Amino acid sequence: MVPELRKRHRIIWQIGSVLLCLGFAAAVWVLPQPVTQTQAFQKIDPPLPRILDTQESEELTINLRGDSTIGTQLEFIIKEPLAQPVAQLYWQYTFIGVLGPKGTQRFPISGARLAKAPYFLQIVNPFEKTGIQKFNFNP
Amino acid sequence: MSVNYTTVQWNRQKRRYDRIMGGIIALYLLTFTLLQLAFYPLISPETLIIRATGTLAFIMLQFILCIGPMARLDHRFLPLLYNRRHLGVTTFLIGAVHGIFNIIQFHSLGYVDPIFSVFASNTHYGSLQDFPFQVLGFFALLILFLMAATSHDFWLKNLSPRWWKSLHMLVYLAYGLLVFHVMLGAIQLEQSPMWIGFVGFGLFTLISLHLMAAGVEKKRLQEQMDKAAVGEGFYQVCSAEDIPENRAKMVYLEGQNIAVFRYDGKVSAVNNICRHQHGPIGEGKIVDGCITCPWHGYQYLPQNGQSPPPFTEKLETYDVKIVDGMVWVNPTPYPEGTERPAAIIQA
Amino acid sequence: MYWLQILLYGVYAYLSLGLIFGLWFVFKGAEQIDENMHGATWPTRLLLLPASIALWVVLLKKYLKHQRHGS
Repeated sequence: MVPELRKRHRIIWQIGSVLLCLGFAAAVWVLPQPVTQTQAFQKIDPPLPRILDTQESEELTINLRGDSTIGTQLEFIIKEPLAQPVAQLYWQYTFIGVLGPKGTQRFPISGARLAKAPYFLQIVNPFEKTGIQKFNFNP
Repeated sequence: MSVNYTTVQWNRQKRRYDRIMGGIIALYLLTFTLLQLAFYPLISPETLIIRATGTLAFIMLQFILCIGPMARLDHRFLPLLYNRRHLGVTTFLIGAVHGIFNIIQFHSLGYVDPIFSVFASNTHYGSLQDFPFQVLGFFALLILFLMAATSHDFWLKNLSPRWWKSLHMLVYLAYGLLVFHVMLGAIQLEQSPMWIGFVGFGLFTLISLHLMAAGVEKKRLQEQMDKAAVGEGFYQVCSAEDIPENRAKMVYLEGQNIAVFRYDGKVSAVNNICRHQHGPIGEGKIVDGCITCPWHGYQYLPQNGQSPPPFTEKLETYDVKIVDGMVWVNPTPYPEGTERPAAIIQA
Repeated sequence: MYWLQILLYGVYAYLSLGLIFGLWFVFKGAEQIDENMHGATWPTRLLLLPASIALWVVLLKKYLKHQRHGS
């Protein structure tokens, strides 16, 4: 190469390397961060000591736990992902919450709803009125 | 050289070079296709072509830009420099397949002009994250097109070497555009550390090579000037033993860029700049009695700087003498093609 | 983006004129500014066509200059 041309190359690369490195760093800087979802059911009530009754389906194990002094709760252990996208829970026709997609979840049941056995639980998909699951508890 | 133009200047080495290049390209495309089919079994042929040609063209451009400084740092890489032109044209063609398939797939299904759509379909020109990165690729491809289209010797001669060289130095701009085309395009979508690593590694290698080569050259030039001892217009350059047989020592004296060749027990000096494309003649060697430019194989006789007939290119020549085994060069040039006696090396 | 559409039409017009000039140049004009073009084959001439289309203004200037100095 001619010395003059060589000098041109040198200057181009000295300036170019700074610009390219800055640009590279900026492009990495603006990379979209992976979306982190906060879990809808982060706080899980501690389990009450006694299991009063258990119902099973292919997807779920449902325990009615509690004792007369502390209160009563429903415990859901999800064994397989639920077929329905949203699962609303109704205890004795009263809405008690929405079941999340995985793990173990517990919902408190107020004393007034425990007046007289047998009790029944319905799992409802609000988008489709079909596919209602029903469980009976008789402690 | 100055005989009538041919379509492609092929010779034995260039054919071999091109065959190796073709083989490596085919191997890359095959491997890439198999990997894509393994990782993305549902990939469409268009997407596969876009990905394969895009990655290949970027890797090839990266490699082409490494050749220059590599050859300057280590002369064993010089054969890669030779015929770099075919590598460049091939890179453009592969890049063009990538660009055309992209325009067909993403811009030609609407009712607006596809080229208009490249510029207007995404207008977040103020954002880095959502920048219309395809525009960057478009301009890079345009530069590669101009370079490939003017790569024939006809253009070198008729656009003038200066104009031509400036046009071809735009390749650095094209590379810069492509780095951002990749970083703001595919990388923002994939976010894979592996791909970021690849681009970063390539960038780092290229910058280091260029800065290293520039530094080494600058130092070498300075040392030469410091060492050259002056006497009656002659400068002491090196000992005759320092020049390998059929090779040259390049010196820069009083603004003259000179290549001092040793061959058949003799030493001759000619101007170091090839008349063809300003290639560094001193990085070449003597083949069949002729100095052969490493860039495109232009040839000159060492004792008079003339191309062997029927060619007409000529180089300036210089006086050389050998005193006590040391080579002395007078940097006052003789007119192009002037015969000067070679200095004999005493055994 | 209205200006872009106009600019683009300008580019298309430039390239259309370039195609006409380029075809004439590679088959006729080139030989007049460079004698090495004599006897060039069809593939060689077509190889020069893309750049002749893209750079036709530069070539036209060169050709006209050559004509003035030649005569």
